[in-house]
Amino acid sequence: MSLEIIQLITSFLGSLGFALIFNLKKKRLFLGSMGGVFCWGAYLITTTLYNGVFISTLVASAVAAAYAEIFARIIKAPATVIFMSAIIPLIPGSSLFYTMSHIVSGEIALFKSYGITTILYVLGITSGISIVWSAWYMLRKIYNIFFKTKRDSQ
Amino acid sequence: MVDEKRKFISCMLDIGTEMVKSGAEISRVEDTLIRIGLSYGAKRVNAFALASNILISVEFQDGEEITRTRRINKGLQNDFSKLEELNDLSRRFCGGNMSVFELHLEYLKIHDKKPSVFLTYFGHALASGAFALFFGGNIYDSVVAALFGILICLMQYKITPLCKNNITFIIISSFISGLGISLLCKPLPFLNPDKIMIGDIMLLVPGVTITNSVRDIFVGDTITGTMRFIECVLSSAALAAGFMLAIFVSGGAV
Repeated sequence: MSLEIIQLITSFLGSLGFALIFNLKKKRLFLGSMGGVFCWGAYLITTTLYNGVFISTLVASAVAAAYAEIFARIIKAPATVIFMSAIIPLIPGSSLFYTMSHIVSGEIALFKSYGITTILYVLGITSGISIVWSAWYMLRKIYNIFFKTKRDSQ
Repeated sequence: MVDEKRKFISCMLDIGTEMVKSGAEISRVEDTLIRIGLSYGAKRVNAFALASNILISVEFQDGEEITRTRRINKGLQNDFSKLEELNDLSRRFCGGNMSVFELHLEYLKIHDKKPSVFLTYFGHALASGAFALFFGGNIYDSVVAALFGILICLMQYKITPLCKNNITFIIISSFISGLGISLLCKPLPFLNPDKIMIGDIMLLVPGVTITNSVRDIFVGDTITGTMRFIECVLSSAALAAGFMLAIFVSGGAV
């Protein structure tokens, strides 16, 4: 099995584990875990197109945020509930670990490069979700204005 | 004798506190409190929430104005079942046909629910095992990571009450698990200690809180967002310190 397929399966299991830790309702477990798979799938697809951590993370976190917002409307639950388990595979545990292990071993060049990667991950995640949330907010406002004027005219 | 209005405000504070503790965004907490207040029939409701405090001021129809505040001491523990139920409760209250007494009873029912201990252990094991594989470990790494995930969960239950804050807990637990993993991997060459540690780091990294804090900053709750963000940075540093110390003590880099 290639690493990508293993990663897609384990991103499901890992998100499921976190969904259990966050005590999601039983009927939301599958939805939250699938969010993790979509999020990591988006990351994998983007890395083949663009070579860079920042863009891939940005797209993946935007996908996770959009997924959470859309399904939150459908199941009528707060978006955070789904979003938190969907974003889990993007958390830069690996690069954080190598950053600090290279401090201990004293390899400053590697420490710097891993440190920058970790920061890029965090920046990518936050910018991705910020873009989706602001766009979602604006869309909702525009929809409301449209809806209200329509109802008033009737 | 406490009259109904005071009882109502105390109930609002209870709901707000519980929402903040179970991991809601601040804007949602304020929004919920204002809705509950207005649907009770108040003329004006002001709610101001922080991660550590809630302040409510309600002006009733008869002109009486009551202001109450409550300090939130215990830290954040994400419990999304509770959050969803509280959200639901406030929706039902706003829908009408619910007295303050009923609201309080329903709140107490939600408050007393505890997450299943077995599922929490299982979640820790599953998450750390899966992420050891995810970052390129083999199946043995995954099993060991799952065992240490259970150890971390055990420490969360047993050590957290002894610690002054979350940062102390993270230093202690990351040091213990890091040391355990390094010592276990010395005589067993087929294990990759780095992958196992990464699997267990995923449990301790405050990734969720960081995204939540960004959300808070983005919708305008800059104070809470900044508070939570700084907490995250500090606990990541504590995590790094704990594991580094463990690697140091056990001799050499991984």
